[in-house]
Amino acid sequence: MKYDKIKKTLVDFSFILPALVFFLYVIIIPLISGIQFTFTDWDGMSAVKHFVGLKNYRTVFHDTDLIQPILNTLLFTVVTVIVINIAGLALAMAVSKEFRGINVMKSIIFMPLVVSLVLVSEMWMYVYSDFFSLLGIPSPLIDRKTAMLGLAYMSIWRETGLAMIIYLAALKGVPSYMYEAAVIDGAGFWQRFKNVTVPFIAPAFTYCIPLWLAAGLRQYDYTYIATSGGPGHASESMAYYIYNYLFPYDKVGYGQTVAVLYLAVCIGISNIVTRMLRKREIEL
Amino acid sequence: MMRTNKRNILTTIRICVLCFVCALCLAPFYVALCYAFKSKSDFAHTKLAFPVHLYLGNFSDAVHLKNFFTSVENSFIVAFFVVVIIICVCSAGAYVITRRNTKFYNTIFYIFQLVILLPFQTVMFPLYKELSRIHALNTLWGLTVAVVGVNVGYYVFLYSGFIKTVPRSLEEAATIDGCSQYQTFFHIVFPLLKPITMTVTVLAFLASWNDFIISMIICQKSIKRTLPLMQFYFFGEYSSNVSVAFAAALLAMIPAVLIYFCAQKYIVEGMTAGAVKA
Repeated sequence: MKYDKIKKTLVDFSFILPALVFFLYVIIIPLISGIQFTFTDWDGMSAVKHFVGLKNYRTVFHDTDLIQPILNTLLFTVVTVIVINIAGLALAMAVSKEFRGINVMKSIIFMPLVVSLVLVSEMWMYVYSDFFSLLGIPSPLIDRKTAMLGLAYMSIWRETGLAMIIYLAALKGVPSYMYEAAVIDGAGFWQRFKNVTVPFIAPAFTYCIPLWLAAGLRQYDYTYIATSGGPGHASESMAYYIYNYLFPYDKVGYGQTVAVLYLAVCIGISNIVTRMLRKREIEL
Repeated sequence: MMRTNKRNILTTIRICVLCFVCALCLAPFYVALCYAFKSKSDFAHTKLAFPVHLYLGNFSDAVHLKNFFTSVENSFIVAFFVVVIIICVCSAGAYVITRRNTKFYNTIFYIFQLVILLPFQTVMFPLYKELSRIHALNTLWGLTVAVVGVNVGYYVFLYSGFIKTVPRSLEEAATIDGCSQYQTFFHIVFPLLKPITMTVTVLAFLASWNDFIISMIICQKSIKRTLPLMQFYFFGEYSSNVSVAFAAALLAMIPAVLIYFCAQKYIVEGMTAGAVKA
């Protein structure tokens, strides 16, 4: 009897084992050894690492170079979260009523999502340099003030279609009699939107906002491919800053320390925002 | 009468706005096509005017570039194995997580989900060191392992959302008929998962096909580069001859676009799963 139970537990476990092995090997073990590196001054290559205790953590809090990447990342995240969600919802409402050609339009708006980030960045670099110059507008990527917004626009272009598709699926779930009832009660467009649509699609907000929040905080590829952080440090994101310390600068101990703190902040922010949205969802 | 008029005007505005948005979505592709289909001297004169004479020289230059087909092959190999491994390990893992529902499995599931938020930079360097220790740098299998590991959490999440909707009665019947747990899973449950398996296939393929940062760290060597990485270096090396780089990039995009148009339904289902409560 006992033997049977053990066997059953083992069989159960064998189902999850392969997934767990990949996960442990690629994520958890590197995460743990990464945390160990934060207490050393390792350069990433030499055989010796010196234990330096909490020195790296103290350095982080005095590192003024960090301010710019933090501000850049926050700017990118705030702009992309707001614009992608609002534009996605607006487009979803615009395409929710059927008419001829609507499916073609939906396909076109959603299509940028399958383009690799490399090609997105390259295409936009040339749109900015060639097309904008025809209009007499300088490329946003060469100006310190607008470089990050130029990158944010690439992300908005690529991902608004996804937001549209998600909100559209949510809108389909709103029962039409609710709108009819609202119209009979004399509710205008704005009131219908606020009192019927928003409460019904609240789960979609709870899904979408943290999704793009996490994506924005992790932004790396656009910076690396399109601007290499420039001009100056004007478009450096946190992820790019960390990358520089880990690879080109050979300061693994410090880079890994920033990475670990940054992970904690990412998870913290996402959790707080998700919790707030859940709470709102219930209140609505 | 006034009412219908007003509604017609609104519909017209709506369609105009949508057309404008579509144009915005297509504009960068147009620039890329202009570069790819015009010879260098033609581009210097006509810039972004509509390409009247289709010049195919850039495409033939692109396919004759060193390593173009090697990269295509690398990308296909990695994407194939990533998809196969993800389907096998994630469906089985999600099955036992949803069906057992004990504290142990729920904890694993929770950790899997947390990692969806994890920035790759946090594990990048230790993973690089570990793969270099076992001589897996610049190998396709090393890249495959890394891509699978990074994506496992998300696809277990997608699978378990679907498995919750599959009734248990068939599995119970199979157990009574004397099927072992493995037989039940492979003969009864797995075939029922076909819709979500299609979605996972498409999404995992695209994720692997378009992945940049993981390949950048693991496969630097030019004969092991995947397509996005090759594109990245092309644009760097051919900055004086962007046309060829764009031609190569557009060719590399074809499989992804084909899959997009054939399997749009599955992409949409996968992306919206979890966002909308059933």
